Amino acid sequence: MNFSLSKAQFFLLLFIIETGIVYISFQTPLISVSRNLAWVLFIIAGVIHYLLIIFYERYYAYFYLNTFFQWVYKIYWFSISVVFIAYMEYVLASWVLPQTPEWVVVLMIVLLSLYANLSRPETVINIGVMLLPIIFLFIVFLMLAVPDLKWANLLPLEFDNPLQIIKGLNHSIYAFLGVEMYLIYRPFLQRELILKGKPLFFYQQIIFVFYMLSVLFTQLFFTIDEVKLVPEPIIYILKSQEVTFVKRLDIFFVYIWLSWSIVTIMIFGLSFRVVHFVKERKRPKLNILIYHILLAIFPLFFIQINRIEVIKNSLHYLFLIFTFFLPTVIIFWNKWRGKKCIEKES
Amino acid sequence: MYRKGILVLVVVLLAGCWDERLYKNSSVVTLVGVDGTIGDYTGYYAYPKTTANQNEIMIIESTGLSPRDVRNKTNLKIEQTLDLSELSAILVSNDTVKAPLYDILDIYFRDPQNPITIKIAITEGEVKPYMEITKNLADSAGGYYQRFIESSEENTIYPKLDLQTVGSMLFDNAIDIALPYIKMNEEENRAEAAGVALFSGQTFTGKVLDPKQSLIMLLLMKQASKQARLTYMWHLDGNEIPVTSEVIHVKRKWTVNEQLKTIKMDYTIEIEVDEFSHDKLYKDYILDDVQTMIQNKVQADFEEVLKILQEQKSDTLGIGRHIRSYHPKMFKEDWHEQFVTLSLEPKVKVKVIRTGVLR
Amino acid sequence: MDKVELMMKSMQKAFYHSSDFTIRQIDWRNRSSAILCFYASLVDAKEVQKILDTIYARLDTDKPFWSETLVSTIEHFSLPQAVERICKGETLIVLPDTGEMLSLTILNKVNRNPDEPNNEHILRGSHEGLIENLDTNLALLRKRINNPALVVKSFRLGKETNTRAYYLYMDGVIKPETLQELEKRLHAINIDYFYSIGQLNDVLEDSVLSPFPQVLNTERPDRVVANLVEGKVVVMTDTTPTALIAPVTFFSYYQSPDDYNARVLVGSFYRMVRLLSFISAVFLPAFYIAVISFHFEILPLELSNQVKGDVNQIPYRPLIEALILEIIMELIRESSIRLPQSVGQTIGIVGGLVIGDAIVSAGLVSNLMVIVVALTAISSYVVPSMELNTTIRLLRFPFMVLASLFGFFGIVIGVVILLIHLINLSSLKQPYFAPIIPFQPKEAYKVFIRSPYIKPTVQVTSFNPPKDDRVKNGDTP
Repeated sequence: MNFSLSKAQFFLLLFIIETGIVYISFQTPLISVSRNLAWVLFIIAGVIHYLLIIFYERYYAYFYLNTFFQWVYKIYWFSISVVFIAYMEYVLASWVLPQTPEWVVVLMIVLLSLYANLSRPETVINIGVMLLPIIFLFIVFLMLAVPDLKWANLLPLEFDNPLQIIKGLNHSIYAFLGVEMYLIYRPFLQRELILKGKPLFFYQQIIFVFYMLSVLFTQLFFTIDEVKLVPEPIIYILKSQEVTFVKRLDIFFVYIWLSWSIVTIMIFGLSFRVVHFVKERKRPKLNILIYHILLAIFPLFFIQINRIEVIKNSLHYLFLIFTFFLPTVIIFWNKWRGKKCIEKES
Repeated sequence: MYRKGILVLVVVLLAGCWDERLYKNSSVVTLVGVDGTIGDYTGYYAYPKTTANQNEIMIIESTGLSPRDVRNKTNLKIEQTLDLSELSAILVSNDTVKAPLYDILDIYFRDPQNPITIKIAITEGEVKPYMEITKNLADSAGGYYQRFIESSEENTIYPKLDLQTVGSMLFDNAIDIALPYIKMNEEENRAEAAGVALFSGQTFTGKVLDPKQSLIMLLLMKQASKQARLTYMWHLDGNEIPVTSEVIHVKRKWTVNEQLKTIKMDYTIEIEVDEFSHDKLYKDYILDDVQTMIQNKVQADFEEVLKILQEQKSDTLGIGRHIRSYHPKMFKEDWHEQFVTLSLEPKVKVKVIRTGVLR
Repeated sequence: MDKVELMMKSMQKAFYHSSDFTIRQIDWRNRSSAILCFYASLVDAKEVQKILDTIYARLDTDKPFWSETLVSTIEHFSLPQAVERICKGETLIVLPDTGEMLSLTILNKVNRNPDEPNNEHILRGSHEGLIENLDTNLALLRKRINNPALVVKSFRLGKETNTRAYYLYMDGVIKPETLQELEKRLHAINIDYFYSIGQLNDVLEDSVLSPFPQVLNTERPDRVVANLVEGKVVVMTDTTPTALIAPVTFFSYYQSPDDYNARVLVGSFYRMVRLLSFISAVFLPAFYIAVISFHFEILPLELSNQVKGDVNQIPYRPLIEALILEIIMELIRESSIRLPQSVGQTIGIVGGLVIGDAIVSAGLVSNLMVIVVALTAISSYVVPSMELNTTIRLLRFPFMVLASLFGFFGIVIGVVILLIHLINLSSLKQPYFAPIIPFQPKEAYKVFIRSPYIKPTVQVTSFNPPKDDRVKNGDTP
């Protein structure tokens, strides 16, 4: 794989990976577990995220994956993609397309990802730009709910239950799923560009504010008992808004979220390609095709409420392993051995 | 690639469009009425029947075990599919809401096609006549009640609510709802706004505040809408002069004393005088007198309404939410019992800030 | 037989005894003979006679360069070269004695005036247009760019037709790799008969099967010049008034000289209107179909009642309904192009009003569908470029089908495919969707806004040509 990223492209890529699918749903488990504390815990999670990317930035050169870990990450991303596609189809089926067979929707999503991934890598990297205006629109329409917010919901704060705090932290940090891609794409940044504190800080601020809005809106809009019933709170908030020209905003925004998520799936596919084609391989197109065929088959086994729930309730543990534990271990192991990423050596 | 694309397209085309709901094949229900209790619900559905540019409201009635069952039974009777996606109002009879309200609302929250920005109202007596009158009054049954409720909201009789906010409050034990209450004006055969129905938790208390009390309650809730008019009689030299004033701003401050369980409720109400057939309002002594008169009357009304609310265990003001947020130690889970034991001390200050275009 | 006569025979044979090929024996100095030959159809006889008289006069003075004037020159005779020159319309005097030939380049120019092209009207600014003559066209361009950096290179098209063609660029502004790519493609051309600009168009495009045009066609010299100074290559041929411009971006098609001649606010506003028209032209019918057959809950209640009353009695599914109208639309369009202008308007009225009204009363389509299709048609004609206009009209059909299959989901699928395609597309190996992709924030706003001239950089530079600033700061007027 041979491409180079500008700073804007790099951060855009990271932004789309991190937001994408989880944006409409991670608030529910967070608020049900940590109740009124959610917003405080999320601020802490934001700080942890910032520290994490600083750590990544400092040591990314040591993130060298040997064949075994390559496969570990490839399988991890593949399974995340599978789960996400299943979840996307589940949300679509419950909100807008109840009758359409699951396989058709899954196939369509996978075909789009296939088309994008058969193109040049730049295509996947750049397509996120088109999402910016509609994400902006998303936020603007979310602001319609401001009069319905109940600020008293921010309180009371009780810090007497450590288990609740730890669980809540875990759920809030889960928002940043996919941040380990920083390590994958960082070497592709144009050589002369150095990421000093400022761009990192701005990026962290933008994504933090973006997520914080969703947490605040969910917490202020719903009562805690109610939010437990609503698995996609952001869409639900939009459903309860009426503007003069359109009665149901949620339908539009389910689809905005869908296109956003499709791009995330494409980027996961690209990451797979990046790691998979570090070595020259024969018939690259066939490899990509097989990846997508599997991607079209596996999600079909998960589209059921109880399985979706099981996955939702376990994904945040998996995330901890692959985003915190493994990179740290790999980085320090390579640092100890003095082995660096290939791109840096040349 | 292109050939594959075409192949997929052909497969999909042959299979057809699964989620298509053709607009012309749906009966677009705009108003739903619910009567009866669990196991024996009666539902009424109003939908327009379009024949050669003539809109006619059809009302169809069914009975069933649950609200959804009623709807299924109704589907058996019509030639098109009932579609509730354009629903704009739900009417529930006052007997039905003696049972938990969420039971009948669940289907509206659970179905993604149903809008949740719609109005809900409680009717005095059976729902059926309220449905029937729309045939003469409007060309859209749901639209009629929607406008009906919205105009009363503007007049500060009904609180500003829609299905979503009602549902949100039903799940919160620290606040109760007060729903629009409609009665039938037998002589004119019209629906009439008759104040609000007080709920305690999920159920209707049976107590209805009349329109004037509703307005007072809304002032207590700091929800003065576009028009909130208070009319009192002013005594001058044995004459009675009506004084109508419009509420411009309401400011409130609640001070909670946790030990004594008292809440001091300070309200400052700024009004504009709308009607005052006596002149010389610009004179200080008259203005002061009018101001004091209104202040006293409002004070009395506030006390009366608060007393009713406490009697009915209906915390529509959201005092529970306030206490839970700012005085969490004082908050107990059985809030309704707690609410009754509170001593609420309202204190009103009325200021006339404008007198219309005349002095 | 006389040498001269022999030569005349062979010449006549070389021209297949064409009737308009004139060959005569004339007197030359020292009592020798010469052969005068030309295509009567191509030569301006009076002018030739005048020049010939001058040359006769100079002939007798025995000056060494008696033959050289602006329009005449002498060279060695060879039959193939003579044939080529005569085919170009030159008049030849063959001097068999010295084995030389004198050629007079005086053409009988059958040209129309450089009128404003019919399909690219503008309100303000230059109203000149390119014509079917390469030299006049070059004159129109040189008039606008008085700078030797405007380089003109000629090449020939078609092995048999041998048509003249030029490519032009501004040296110093153009990217070298663009030029290389263009030259590579021009070299690769392998056609026998060149008769239409479309042949060249296909060669210059990166992907011929894409619905989007990757080469800008224009007949306006001011548009050509604006593109030249932005670092683009222009290819022009004799016989067609169309100039091909590459590499272009998608947004080039949405710019009109009017933007830059109008005031800043006005220009920006109409540019945005035009871009909006792309969205309404492609998505409006699809959106309507999706709403009517999948998501009618998004309509507000009052509107919904109207719509319901309107569509209730329509026998067809929305897709069929839309297709009926769209096809009628296309028929009206096609017929009004072919008909003479005065009749064309009548057809428009008959088609628009009579059929539109009757088809609704007949209950074939609903009123709303007529509104939607009419709006779409109007939006699609807003684009200043004819090629993109046809593309847009074509694009909405797949969207309509997708919308009738999956509702909004179908539209999302279509949009993503469209975007990936647009991002993949390139024009002379330059990104087609620039400056949005790759994203250049400083350039992107110019897509939507026509910025004032008083700033040093004015025009949309699509590909950041080198030494751009120099050009912008006034080296080229």
